[in-house]
Amino acid sequence: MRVIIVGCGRVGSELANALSAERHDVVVIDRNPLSFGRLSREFNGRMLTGVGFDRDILLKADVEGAEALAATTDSDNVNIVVAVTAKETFKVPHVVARIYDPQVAEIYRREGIPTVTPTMWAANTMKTMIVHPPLASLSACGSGEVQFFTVEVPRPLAGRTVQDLTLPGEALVGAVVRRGQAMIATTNTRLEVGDILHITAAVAAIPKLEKLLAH
Amino acid sequence: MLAVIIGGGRGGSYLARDLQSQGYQVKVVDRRPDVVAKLRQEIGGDVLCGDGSSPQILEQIGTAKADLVVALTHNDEDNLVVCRLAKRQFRVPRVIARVNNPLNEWLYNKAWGVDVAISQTHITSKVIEEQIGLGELITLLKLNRGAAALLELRLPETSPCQGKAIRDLNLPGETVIVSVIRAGKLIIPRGDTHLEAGDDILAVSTVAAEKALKDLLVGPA
Repeated sequence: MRVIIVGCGRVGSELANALSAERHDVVVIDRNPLSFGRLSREFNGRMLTGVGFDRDILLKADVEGAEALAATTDSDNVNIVVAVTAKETFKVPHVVARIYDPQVAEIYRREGIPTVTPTMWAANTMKTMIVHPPLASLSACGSGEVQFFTVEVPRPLAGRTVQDLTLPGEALVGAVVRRGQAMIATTNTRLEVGDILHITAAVAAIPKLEKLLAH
Repeated sequence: MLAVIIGGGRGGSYLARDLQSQGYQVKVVDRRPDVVAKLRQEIGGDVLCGDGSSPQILEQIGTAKADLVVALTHNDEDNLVVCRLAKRQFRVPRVIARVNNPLNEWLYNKAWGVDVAISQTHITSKVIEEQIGLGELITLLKLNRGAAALLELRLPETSPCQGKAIRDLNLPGETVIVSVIRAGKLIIPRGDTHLEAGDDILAVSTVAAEKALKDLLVGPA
């Protein structure tokens, strides 16, 4: 797949390296040629110096034949102009932009530009780690509204079932790892001390979940 | 009438004062605290320190009630984002933007919410082109993305059209004489209006027909 990445910063270069390693045809654009130093030695794509919404640069990058474009500069506004231009002028099928401001991200998401908002994700994840330490956060999805945790079953919960830890629409147990073996949890799965539970929960439900785990 | 100006440097402050003298209420946004402080002294009241391309700031400054938004920052990406927000989120009737890099002029269009794009480099080079090109025939305004123009000309003593009626002039097909100012009075011309030396003539013409019009009214070079 031909992919154009605008902005060879930390995220852009990671993305470029990963896509190149998977044998995609990658073109990276950055205003500053020194940024290309972040690319790995194995990077197999093209590098173009210039501004990502400049018509000539985009044409040079073969934007008309590109299937995807990622806007990963450190400026929300540059990313917006790049993404909108790629989608509306050049009809690139898959466009994604990194937007720090959550309100702005929402505006463009509604206009049909998929966005990634690291701000909310990081804030939500860190908040959970700070306020609710026994829950070890693995990752999150969306903008961090739903998080994935592990928690070890404490003695007081032995003998209870997964059902007791299920909050419909708010939290559920996905997998149970017992003595190194993982299984998909069912509502009837009986918990044993030492079980590692993999829980999917809405951030808003974490306090309730904690209470349940404390009993 | 409310005008919101994003970008308060020299351009912004001159424009703000100009608009105020025309009766506008003016609000300005700039990121730089020193610029904001100076502006507050110069134009009083509503100057906000912040990022004018942020929806929250635009809301705070009352863009929803603005009749006019002018994007005057030094970055084309910021100007474009301001215009799009102003048009789509805040439904501002008139949105004007300054083009910084002429290479980005192509982006300043209706899709981005821009009603009028002003490119200083473009205007300057075109004016120079015009002045060198046709001498007495001055371009006042470009129309239709540069394909036509509003032109001004003072009919010289030596004009072959002196004393002739407009209908007898044999004007090129793609031109029309719009008005004649004679001794301070505006004449809306009809076919039987006669031209006199000293008349200030306003005409609309396609770029292609300009030279023919000039040759007709002034005589060939």
